Amino acid sequence: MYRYVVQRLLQGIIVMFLVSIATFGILQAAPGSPIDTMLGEGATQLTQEDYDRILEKWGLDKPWYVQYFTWLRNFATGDFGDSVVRAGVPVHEMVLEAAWPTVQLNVLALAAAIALAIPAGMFAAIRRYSIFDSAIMVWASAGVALPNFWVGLMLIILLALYLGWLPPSGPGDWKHYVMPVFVLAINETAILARLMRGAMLEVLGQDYITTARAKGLSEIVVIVRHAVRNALLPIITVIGLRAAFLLSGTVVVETIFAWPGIGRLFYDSVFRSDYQVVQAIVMLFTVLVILANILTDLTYALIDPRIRLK
Amino acid sequence: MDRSTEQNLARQQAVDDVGLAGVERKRRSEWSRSWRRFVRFKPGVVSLVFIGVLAIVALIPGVFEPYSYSETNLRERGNGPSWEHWLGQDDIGRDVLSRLIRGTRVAFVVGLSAMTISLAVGLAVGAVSGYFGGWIDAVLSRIVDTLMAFPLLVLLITLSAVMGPSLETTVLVIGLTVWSTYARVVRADVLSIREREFVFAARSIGANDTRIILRHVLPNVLGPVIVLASLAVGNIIILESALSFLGLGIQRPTPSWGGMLADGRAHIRNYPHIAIAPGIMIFLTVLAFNLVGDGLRDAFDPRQRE
Repeated sequence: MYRYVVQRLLQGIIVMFLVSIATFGILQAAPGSPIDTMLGEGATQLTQEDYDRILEKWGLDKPWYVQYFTWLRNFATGDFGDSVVRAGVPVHEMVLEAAWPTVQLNVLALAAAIALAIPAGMFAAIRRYSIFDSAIMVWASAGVALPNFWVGLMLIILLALYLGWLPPSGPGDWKHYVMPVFVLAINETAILARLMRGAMLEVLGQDYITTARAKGLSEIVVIVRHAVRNALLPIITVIGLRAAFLLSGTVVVETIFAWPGIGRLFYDSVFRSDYQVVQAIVMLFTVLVILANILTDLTYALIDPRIRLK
Repeated sequence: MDRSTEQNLARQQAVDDVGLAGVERKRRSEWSRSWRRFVRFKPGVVSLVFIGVLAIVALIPGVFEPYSYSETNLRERGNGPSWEHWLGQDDIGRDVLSRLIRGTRVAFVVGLSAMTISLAVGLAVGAVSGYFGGWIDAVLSRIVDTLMAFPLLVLLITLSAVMGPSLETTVLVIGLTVWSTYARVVRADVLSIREREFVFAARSIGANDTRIILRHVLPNVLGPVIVLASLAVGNIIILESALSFLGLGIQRPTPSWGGMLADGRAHIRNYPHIAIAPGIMIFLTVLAFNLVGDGLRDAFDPRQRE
């Protein structure tokens, strides 16, 4: 177990390193010299001293590999540079400002998806080939194919503009959360429901379920104590691995609903060519995904003795 | 008649009764058996027909368009559906139905070309990684891990913005990023095939690695790869629409379903009808490719059938 944890963490660190090289490389390829990219339109109004200070801090007059390590060192200490558009505002302040709305949205969407999908998949498997099962399977197929940005637009038209029940966009009281959380949860719910049904069906066919029934346990005990607990194992890994997809969805949902989170900050920054902010958010997202994956693997090892003992 | 002749006659009679003698069972290739299993999954067949129709529309959209897809008509901008314009007109008076039909082409061009790129890369990386193992596998697997650590849409947005959005950029950035999942699947399959007897047999008669991979390993992962290809097209069409919707995919004036949704969003208060039809087309097309993928999975690997 100890070896596994160390090995997994080492892999994670290597991948983080590779991700940082990729991110640095992509933004280097952006049009314009790095100092122009860093200064934006304001470059002309800067004094020679400011110019020299930035040149010095990011090592922009040095070769690219020196620049990369300077950049990495600054990033590692939480210094993501200053925003170009909101001149002088440190990037980490902008990201921190936007973090809470994004965390709220993602946690609520994930919770909603789990709360809906797990029971749905479970009952579909227990009552296999019933109408309920068919309905769940139709929903699962449709939910994966639905473009969430379109669903968002349709909900705005129907519930906000036509019926006037919910506000069309922006943050506020609980009504403002309904549409963004729903849209962000659609794909996840469909995927998790389908997986839960599959996992449940597989577990229900195992010998130990037959044994449990044969020794006279009630059906509820068989399902809850023996089947569901085992069926949940593969689901937990998948939830962790879906972190990247959830963050992708955040960008779309926050853009549609004018949600003041990191996803929208990212999107706006791309269009304003505020590459310092873009870089910081891409790094933040990837590190989050890598951590989520490591955490998932470790949790899995912790709750499944078969993995732990290997 | 001695006893053994009697037995033989009885056996012959039994065989004749069940009608087995002389009727040689038609030999079927693995492919035709797979096809027969696929046909039994009705949603898959319906989807395949639907995709076929869309493919024809994508090839010769001009035949089906009632109006020009690009001609603007400012006097009739934002008109709702009518007998003349079934799906209405957009914010600068263009016929929505004609643009929807023309948009099929972009969906298919991007879907098929990006799928080809990503499958080629995924197949190559997965096969090499799984077959050789060792440090080659370790290096390639870390690259795959790295790619998978990026939220896909975030990576696509960044790359498109840096490279300058266009049709070519869209195909390229999607094709060169989504292969990581396919590489993982192929790698896992190759890992198990590598240990099979026919691979040892091939090696024992002197086949080299290239020959073993191309002639013995890859044909055996073809089934799963065809399934992946179908699912990949659906996935890619959603990504392309999302990119175009966000303004970083297909650029105006080329009609794409995602781009039409962006127009619809910009005029959502005054002309909400613009945003409805393109989303339904994206949904149906992606659903069709996914269902064909599901059907193919059952057809190639009946054991996996849910």
